[in-house]
Amino acid sequence: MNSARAELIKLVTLPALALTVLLTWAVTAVLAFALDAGPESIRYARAGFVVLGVLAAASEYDGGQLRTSLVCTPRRLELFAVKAVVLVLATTPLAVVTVLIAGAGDIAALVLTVLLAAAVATVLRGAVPAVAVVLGYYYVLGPFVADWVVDGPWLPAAAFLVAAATFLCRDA
Amino acid sequence: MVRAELVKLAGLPSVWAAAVLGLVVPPLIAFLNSRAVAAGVDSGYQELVFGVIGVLVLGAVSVGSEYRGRQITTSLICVPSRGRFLAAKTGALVLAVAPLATVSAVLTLGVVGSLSAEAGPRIVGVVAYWVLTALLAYGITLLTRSGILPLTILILNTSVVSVTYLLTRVTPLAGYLPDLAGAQLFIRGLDSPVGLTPLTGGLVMAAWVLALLATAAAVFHRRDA
Repeated sequence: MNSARAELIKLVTLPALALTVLLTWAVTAVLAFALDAGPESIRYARAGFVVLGVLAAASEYDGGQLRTSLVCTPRRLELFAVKAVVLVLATTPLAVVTVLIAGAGDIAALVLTVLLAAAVATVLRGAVPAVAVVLGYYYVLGPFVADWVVDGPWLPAAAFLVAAATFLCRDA
Repeated sequence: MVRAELVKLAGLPSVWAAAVLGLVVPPLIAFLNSRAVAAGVDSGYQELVFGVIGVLVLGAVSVGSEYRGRQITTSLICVPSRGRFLAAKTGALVLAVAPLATVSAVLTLGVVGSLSAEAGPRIVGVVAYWVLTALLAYGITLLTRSGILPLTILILNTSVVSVTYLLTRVTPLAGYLPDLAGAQLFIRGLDSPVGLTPLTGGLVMAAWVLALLATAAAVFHRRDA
């Protein structure tokens, strides 16, 4: 329980995460109301959740914070699982609010987006490359391979497993 | 100094990944698209608009890497004149992006089979668009000192339904925003509320980039490293 509380404190106290959430809501509201994009605005809100997941995971690798975390919680499987559960629980209410602002959208898809982004950031250990990869997939390559790649929970799930394996086996 | 900046760029793994992205994504999308959509006046070129993702990363990483681990303080000890430092950095970025854009444009047009002598001026337009887009990412990163915000905004805006396109539904003035104006450099059937010639479109985009770089340079000049 202590490690869950620690992870929650880390998430809640990161200024970059709070800023990302506020910007996401502001942009979604502007798109939904001022630009009449309506349900389309959820497409753009998704990018905010990508940044959220990336920053949440990459913050551990900025300045070696991960080593401190592993000293406190030496069992890697436990740390990884707690991180994932806390991230999902913390982002679900944010996704609910975003969907309410946009007037449409899938809460589960937004939460899965956060998980995918966090998994990629964990593997790449950096925020900028992770943002480029995930956004590039969703917004540039995605629409063109939509016929071949079925959208759904399998991609975040696969990325999550790869991230778990990397996290367990790699030196911190 | 420009050589030092080029060495820095070449030493970053993300730069090589970005270069591969820039070389692979446009031909790949063009290939996928050519099997689904009939060839038109803009086939190949349309895909080169999406291909800027590689040089967006290049532009953002070129500055962003300076602010990871305080490399910027070392760089400024080596080149204390901030103006000259920025000039060298900008020059190195242009020198890296221009050949990348040329090769990618030739590859993409080769894939769709529209590579001919009269494609020359449009390829020059593609190169100008890629260089200016990289400079946009570079300028915003110089202001924010982190590549995340510029990458998010600019990648989102290269998507199929861009934010700029949504803005054109509200005001025709959105046609003068840098991405839409700049795309006129080489896209012929562009869905934009303002029709600009390739040259004017390029100049409008260049003006945006110049204004951004001037602001970023002024901020960089006055701010603590």
